[in-house]
Amino acid sequence: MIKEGSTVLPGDKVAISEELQPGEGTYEKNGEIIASIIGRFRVDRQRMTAIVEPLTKIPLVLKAGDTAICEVKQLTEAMVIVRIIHIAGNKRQIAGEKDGAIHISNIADEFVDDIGKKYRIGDIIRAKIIRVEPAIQLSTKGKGFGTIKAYCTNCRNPLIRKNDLLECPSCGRMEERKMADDYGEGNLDRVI
Amino acid sequence: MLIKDGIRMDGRKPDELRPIKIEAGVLYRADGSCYLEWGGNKIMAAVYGPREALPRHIQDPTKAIVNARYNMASFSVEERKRPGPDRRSTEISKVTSEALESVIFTELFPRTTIDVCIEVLDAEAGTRCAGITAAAVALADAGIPMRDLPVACAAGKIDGTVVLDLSSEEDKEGEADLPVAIAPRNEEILLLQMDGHLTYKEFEEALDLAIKGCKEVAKLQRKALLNKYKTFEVE
Repeated sequence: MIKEGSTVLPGDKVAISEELQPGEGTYEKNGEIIASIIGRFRVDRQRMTAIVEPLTKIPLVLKAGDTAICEVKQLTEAMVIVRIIHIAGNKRQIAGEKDGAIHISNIADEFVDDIGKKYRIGDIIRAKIIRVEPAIQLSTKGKGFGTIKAYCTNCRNPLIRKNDLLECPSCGRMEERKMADDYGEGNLDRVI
Repeated sequence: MLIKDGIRMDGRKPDELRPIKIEAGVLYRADGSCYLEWGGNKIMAAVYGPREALPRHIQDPTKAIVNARYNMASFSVEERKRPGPDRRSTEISKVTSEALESVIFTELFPRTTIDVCIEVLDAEAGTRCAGITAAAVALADAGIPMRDLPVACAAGKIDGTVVLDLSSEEDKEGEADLPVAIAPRNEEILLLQMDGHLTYKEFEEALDLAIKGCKEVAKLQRKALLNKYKTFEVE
């Protein structure tokens, strides 16, 4: 086993299989544990695993708990289908599946009767990922979550907040949405 | 006359490399990048992804696609090169993709592509080796898990002598060119091509020499990456 805390590169042997189990950032081949990324070598003594803590940015794989910025793609009776376009605080593009669903019970804290009064196709929303397997599930419960930018269903112009409702500046139409508390401010990287 | 008393036209010994300079993480927008100078070659490599593969029908539900694109700038050679992909660069893109794919843990990122752009800004023989070497550094810089850090180097034959890392004249006038890419840890061969003629014995000699050269270049790759990331070491 090499010294803990040393910087390793892909292909560097860090330990042998008798000593440790391969963990994050390592793999096992022919009885050796080898680093697969650039990072610092660590040992998890509880699990007796070898870990390489990345020193580089790593590929963005979605996980439960991430704050996601999504676009509403489709509305059904009990579900909102969204496409995740950004993860707050991360510059990288998403690796893998990007389509997710928000069940009607996860839209707001209160009972939701009509999905069309909460979200509309094309809305940009902030949501929390609550599950990634077997399919991505999101939730917009809580005041930080909900629409951060919505469009008029009549003329497609961006809506402006008027107290608890949204107003279209060009046609004057009033619409209802589940809004985030910072609607219209464009905070894409706010992590909640 | 390419070699005289064991000294080549540019003053190198038969088993000597051209000067190499590698720098990791040079592009802001790319996920990982590398700039490499190898003799008269100037190469920029950028890695994007893993990201969603589009159109959807090219996605592989079991693993990521490694898509390397080798491109020569129109000003990279003496006579202006017509821009865009041609037969040669399409081939190099393919063999590079396959060499890189065999070291990347593609199964960790299903339905995605990992795009590697290799731009040749200035060319002087051995660009495919330089491209793979630069791409490897860029992939490591992007934090993509790999079995090993691939590296490439060429050997060849000039005036009946087997030599390492052909220069432009040696490539044109010489008898053979043998680019080799390996995973240095276990010397697994990732790419092996040959242009010209070698006897079986010469081939073995050239392959050994190329692998030796690869290991030299691998040291420089490691130095470039450690240079960038070792500064983080606080303890």
